[in-house]
Amino acid sequence: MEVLDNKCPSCGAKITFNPKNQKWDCEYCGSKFTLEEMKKYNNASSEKANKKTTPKKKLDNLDIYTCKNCGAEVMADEQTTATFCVYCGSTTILKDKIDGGISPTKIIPFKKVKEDAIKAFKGLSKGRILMPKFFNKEENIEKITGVYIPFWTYDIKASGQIDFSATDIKTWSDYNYRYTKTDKYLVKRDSSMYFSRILVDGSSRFDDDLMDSIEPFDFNDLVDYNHAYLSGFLAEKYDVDSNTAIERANTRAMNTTIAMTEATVVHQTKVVASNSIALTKISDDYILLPVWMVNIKYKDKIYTFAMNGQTGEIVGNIPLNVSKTIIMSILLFIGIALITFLVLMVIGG
Amino acid sequence: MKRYLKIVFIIVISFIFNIKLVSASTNTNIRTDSNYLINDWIEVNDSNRNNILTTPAVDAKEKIYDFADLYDDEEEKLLYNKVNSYINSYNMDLVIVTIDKNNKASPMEYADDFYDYNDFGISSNRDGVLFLIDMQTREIYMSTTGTAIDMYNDYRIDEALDKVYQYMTDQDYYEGTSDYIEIIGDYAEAGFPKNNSSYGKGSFNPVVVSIVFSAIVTAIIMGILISKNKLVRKATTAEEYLNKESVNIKSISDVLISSNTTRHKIERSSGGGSSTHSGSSGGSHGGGGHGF
Repeated sequence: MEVLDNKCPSCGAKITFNPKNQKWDCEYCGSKFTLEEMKKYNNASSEKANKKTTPKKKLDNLDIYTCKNCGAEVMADEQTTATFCVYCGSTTILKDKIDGGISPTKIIPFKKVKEDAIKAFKGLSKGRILMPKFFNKEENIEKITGVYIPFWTYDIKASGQIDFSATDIKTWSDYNYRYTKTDKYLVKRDSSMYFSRILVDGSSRFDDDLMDSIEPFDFNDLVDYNHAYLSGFLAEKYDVDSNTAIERANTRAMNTTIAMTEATVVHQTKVVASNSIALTKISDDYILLPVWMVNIKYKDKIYTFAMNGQTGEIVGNIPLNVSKTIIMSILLFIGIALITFLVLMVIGG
Repeated sequence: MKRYLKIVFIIVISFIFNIKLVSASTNTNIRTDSNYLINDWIEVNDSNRNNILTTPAVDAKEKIYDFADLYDDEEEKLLYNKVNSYINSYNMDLVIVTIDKNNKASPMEYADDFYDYNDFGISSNRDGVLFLIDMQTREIYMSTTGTAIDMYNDYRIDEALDKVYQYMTDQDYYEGTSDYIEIIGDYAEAGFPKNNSSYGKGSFNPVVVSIVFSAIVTAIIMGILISKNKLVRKATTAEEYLNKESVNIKSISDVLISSNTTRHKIERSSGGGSSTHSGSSGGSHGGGGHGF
């Protein structure tokens, strides 16, 4: 098994990708390199430059590698494709893991740095008075890590016929009677539409709903995959295959197709009577998307937060400060009841 | 001696006759600008001065004011007893007025003025009902004041007058009036109508209203605050991935399959409100009329 490392072409120290200038910065000698330069110095896609490393032992699902920088043992599980050495902090890219199965075709490199993520996370307390104090304190967020998460994208074409049962109800009345007129219609529509790059989380390790919530990504930043982008970050490999993940994309495409078609039916109520929409996968793509992740333990429960590493959108379910919530509810209730009572007294009195 | 007896007889007869005359007709007092003969709560001003002066001032204890002479003495006595028993049972005043000349704009105005500018009504709310038979406009009119406004909502007034106007058309004034007193007595016996907005307003419990209102508002506010902490939502649509130009929806057909019209008789419930208006005195009345 192979371990890839990105080394500074000028001094040989470890080198990482800097989202701020989208270049590779050497912390040691201060050199900066573009992707072309990295490629030129046989770093980015070179295999010869790196010694072959095989996992020494297998420990359950963990493979153990030797860090090329300091010789310490690095543990990585099946899905990890890039990790850090816990001793010296140097990035280890596990090349054969990337190659096992399909390798990503595209990647959106990180745009947001760790400081952006910390700032966004601290901003969560704004306007959220029920958030527990110190929940987003610095030491909790310190552990925030940039992870390239595997996603599947699907181009899907939807086409077919949808029949709706539609109803219009009109009521009117004269002095003696109330009239109700119910008109029923059968409405048939032929629909076709195209969806491009519907995203589906390809890793079972991350909650699908959480990954839905950090959408959308701007695909204009999508570039060809190069493992050099992984340096400085963690990376995961997909473990949900394309044929399984597409279900989620199909459901979303179907819902939108029905909704778009339904919008063209101008009746008061409409119910799908029959649906023969066929969804065809035009293409799929395995891509890596940048996400800042942090797990926070609060009252024995783990809360996972994710920030879109491209747009800065931060999501996660924030725990409630239960006692604060209860006290506030009671105070609000008493306060409003008192004010209402006084107002009623003034009006009624 | 015979002559003496004769004189006594004539005196007795004329005395009885006189008393009869007094009870059959209605005594009215004269109102003047120096003595309006009205209750203290009424403020006299230019707009109501004329209304006051044109309203007969009567003894409020008589209850039956048969200016149009529609009842005979016996009937008047019977009505008086019924009226008294109504007043005692339900704690509301009841006044019966008949007129053959209406010197006011409407039966409503006559009834309201008659009630307000004489000393009618029980308690400080002047609770009570006035029933007017106006022979000039050929209308019966019922004016309500105080609690009677709530007791006799528009629906009850309409129903009561509906039931008795035919008697008046048939010139059965006594029967009609007597029936009317019975009907309004039955209503009072049944209690206040339900869903009476006017009564409801006076009776809702402000504590209950405050608690319910506050519970709802608190739930909404807390719901908003709590939902702010939930940022994870499953995506169920793919709208952001839809290529807008690719959308092609063709209408194949839009056919009317069936059309069905049903009708339901509108139930006019006995609930509902009491509409009120202000008389020239400024007092508030409910009421309604019916031609005959």
